[in-house]
Amino acid sequence: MCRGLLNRGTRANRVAFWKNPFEAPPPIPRAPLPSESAALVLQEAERAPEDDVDAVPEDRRQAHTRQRDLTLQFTGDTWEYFRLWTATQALIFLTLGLYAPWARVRRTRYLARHYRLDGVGFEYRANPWAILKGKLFVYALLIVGVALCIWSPLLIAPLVLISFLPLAWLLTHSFRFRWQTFRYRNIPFGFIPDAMSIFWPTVLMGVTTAYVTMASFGGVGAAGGSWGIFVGLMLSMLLALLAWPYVTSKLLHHRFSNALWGASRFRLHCTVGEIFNMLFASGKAFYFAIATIFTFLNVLSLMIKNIDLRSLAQATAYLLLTVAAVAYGRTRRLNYTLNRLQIGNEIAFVSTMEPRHAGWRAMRYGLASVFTLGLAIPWATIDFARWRTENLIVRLDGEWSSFPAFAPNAATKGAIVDGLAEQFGIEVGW
Amino acid sequence: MSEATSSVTGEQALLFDGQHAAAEAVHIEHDARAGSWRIHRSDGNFETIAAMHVSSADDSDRVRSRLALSDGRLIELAQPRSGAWRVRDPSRVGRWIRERRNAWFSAIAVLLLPVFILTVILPGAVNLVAPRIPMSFEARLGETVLTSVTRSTLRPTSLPADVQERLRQRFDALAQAAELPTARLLFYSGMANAFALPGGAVVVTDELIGLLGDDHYLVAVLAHELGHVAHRDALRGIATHLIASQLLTVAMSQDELTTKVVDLVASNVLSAQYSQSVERQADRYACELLAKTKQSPAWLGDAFAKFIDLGKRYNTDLNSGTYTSSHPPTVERIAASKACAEEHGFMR
Repeated sequence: MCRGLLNRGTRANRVAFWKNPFEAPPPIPRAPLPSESAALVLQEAERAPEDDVDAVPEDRRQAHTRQRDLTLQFTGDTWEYFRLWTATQALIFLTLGLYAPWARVRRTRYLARHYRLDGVGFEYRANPWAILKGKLFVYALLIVGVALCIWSPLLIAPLVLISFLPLAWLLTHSFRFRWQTFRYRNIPFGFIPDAMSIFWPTVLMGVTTAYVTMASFGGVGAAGGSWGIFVGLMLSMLLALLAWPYVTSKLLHHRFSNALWGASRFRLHCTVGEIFNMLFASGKAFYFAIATIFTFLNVLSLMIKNIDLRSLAQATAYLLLTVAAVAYGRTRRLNYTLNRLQIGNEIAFVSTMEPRHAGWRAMRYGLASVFTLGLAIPWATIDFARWRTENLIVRLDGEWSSFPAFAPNAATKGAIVDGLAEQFGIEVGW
Repeated sequence: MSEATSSVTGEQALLFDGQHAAAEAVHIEHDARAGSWRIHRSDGNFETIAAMHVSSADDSDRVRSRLALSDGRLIELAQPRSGAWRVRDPSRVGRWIRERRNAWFSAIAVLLLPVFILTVILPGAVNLVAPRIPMSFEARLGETVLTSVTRSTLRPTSLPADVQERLRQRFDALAQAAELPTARLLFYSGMANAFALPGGAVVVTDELIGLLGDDHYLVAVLAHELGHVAHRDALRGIATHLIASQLLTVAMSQDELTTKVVDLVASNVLSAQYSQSVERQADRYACELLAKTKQSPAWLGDAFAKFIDLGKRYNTDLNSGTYTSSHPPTVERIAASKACAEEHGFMR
C-alpha cells in the first residue's frame, strides 16, 4: 500500500481520472482554476470510479492551506525550435554523427530554458566533448564485441551475459550524469548512485537475454532439442511481459528516489512492486483492444497484393499501435510515480496526463513524423512539452530560500557511462 | 546624456547566488562601449563586472536572457533582449544555427543528406573496405549466419543423393567458369528460397528446386547467387546494415519514441533500395556467366516467371514492390534477362 504524503489516503478515497478506454473519460480532477469553484471540481471527481490505481491520491487533490500552486509553462516556439532542430540535424548528417553531442546539448538546453516554473526556466549544462568521447569509446567497444562474435558464435551468449553484469553500475551512473546536467534557480540536480539495489534485476534480464540469444544461435537447441527452443520462446515472452516491465519499473523508482535538488532529497512514496503492479492492475481492455486491432489489420493487410501498399499498411499499423501502447503505459506509470513524488518536504506534484490522450498524441506524432520524413519531430516535441506542462501541477509548501545548494561534482562526469548505458536501449521514460 | 547617445541600458533582473534557491531582484546595467556590466543590489550597493567574466548561450529569442558569471552566480533578465544585451555566441557554428535564413536550407539538407549518405557514401565506403577483409574472417561470418538460419528457419534436406550430386556438378562448373574457388552448394529444406552467405556458401531449398522443376532454371538462379558471391554482397550487406543502423542511431539519438519510428521507416526504405541495386547487379552477372558457359540468360527470366506464380499463391504481386521490396519488380527482371539473352544471341 502506498503511503500517503500528507494525509494517509486509502485506495477507496482516491480520485480516478480515467477508467474505461471505450467511453468518454470522466473529467480530470485538478486544482480549481481561479475562475472555477472547488465544489465543481469535487463534483466531477466524485463521478470517477473508486479503487483505481490511476487515481490521483486523495491528499494531492487540492492544495492545503500552506501550499501554493506554482505556474508551470512551456514557452518554446515551434518555428524557432524547428530552425534549431533542422540546423543541428543537418550538421549531424554533414559530420556523419560527430556533431550529435553538440546538437543534443543545444536542443536540450533550448527545451530546458523554456520549461518555466514559477517564472524561472531550467538550465541544462553538459560538456559535448565529454559526450563525444563517451560515444567514441562505446563504438570502439562495439566493434571489438562484434568482431569477437563473428570470430566465434559461441562467444555471443557469454558476451551478452557479461555485458549485463556491469549494467546496474552503468545505469546508475548514467542517471547521475543526466540529473547533474540540469539546474533550476542555479541549484543543480544530483543523484546518489546505488548500483546494488538494481544489480539482481539487471542480471536476471541479462541471463534471460543470453538464453534467448543462445536459443537463436543454436546453443540451446543443440543441447535441448525442441524443448530448448520451447524454453527459449517461453523465456522470450517472460522477458517481454514481466522482466522488462519489472526492471524498468525498478529503474524508474531508483531514478526518482535517489535524486537530489541541491541538498533536498527526492522522496518517492511507493514501492517498485506497486509501480509494477499498477501496470497490470488496469488498462487490460486497452491492451486487448490494441492487440486485437493489430492482429486484425495484419490479417487484413494480407489481402493486399501490392507489396508497397501492404508494407505501408503493416508498417502503419505497427507504428500506430505500438507507439500508442507504449505511450499509454508510460503515461500511466509516470502519473502514478509523479503523484507520489516529493522533493524534500516542500514540493509535491500532481500529474493529470490522460493515458489515452497520450496514446493518441503518440500516434499523431509518429504519423506526421514519418510522412514529413522527420521534419515534424520539432513540432511533436514542442506540442508534447506544452501538453505535459498543462497537465502537471507543482505545489510548494514554504519558500525558495529553504532549498540550500549542495556542492555537487562536475556535471560532465559519467559521459562515457551514459553512452554505454544508452546502447542497452533501456528507456525508462519519464 | 540623451537616450540616443547613451551606451548604457538598464534592465530588471533576478540574481541567483547558487547558495540557495531564492532569487534577489536586482537592476543590471550594461555599458556597451566599456563592455562591462553593473549590478545594483537591493541593499543599495553595486558591483561592476567585466565582460570577460560574463557568458551566455541562448538559442532562443523568446527566452529571458541569462548571464552566467564566472563566480558561479546566474542572472536572469526580466525580458528577452537583443543587441547589446545579448552576449555573442562564441562559436561560429552557433551563430550559423541562429541565422533564420539557414532554416530552409537546413530542412532540405535534412531530407536529402541521409539519402545521399546511405545510398552513395555508405556503399562507397563499404566497397572500399569489403575487399580488404580477409576471406578467412568472411568464412567465419558465413558459418555464424548459417548456424543462426539453420536453427531458426531451415531443416535438413530430403533431396535424393543422386539429385544433389547432379546439381552440385552443374554448380561447380559454373563456379569454375566464374573463377570462384570458395563457392559451395548446400541443400536444406524450408521456404522456397536460395541465398548466398558470406564466405561463398550458396543455400538452396528443396522447395525451390521443386517449384522450378527444371535444372536449367535452377542453374540460372544459382548463377545469380554466384553473382552475390563474386561481389561479396552478403558481407557488404551485413557491414552496410551494421554501419547504417549505427549511423541512424547516432543521428536520431534522442529518447523520443517518434525519432525511433522515423529511424525504423527510413532504414527499411533505404535498405530496400540498396538491396534492389545489389540484386540488379547479380542479375547482370548471372546473364554474363550463363552466356559465358553457353547457356541461355533467358532461363533466368523463365525462373523469375515461376516466382510470379509462387507470389500468386501467397496473394502477392511481385511486380509491385518498387519502394519497399528487397528485390526489383519481377517483370523488370524478366525483361532485363531477355534483353541480355538477345544481346548474346540466344533469342534469335
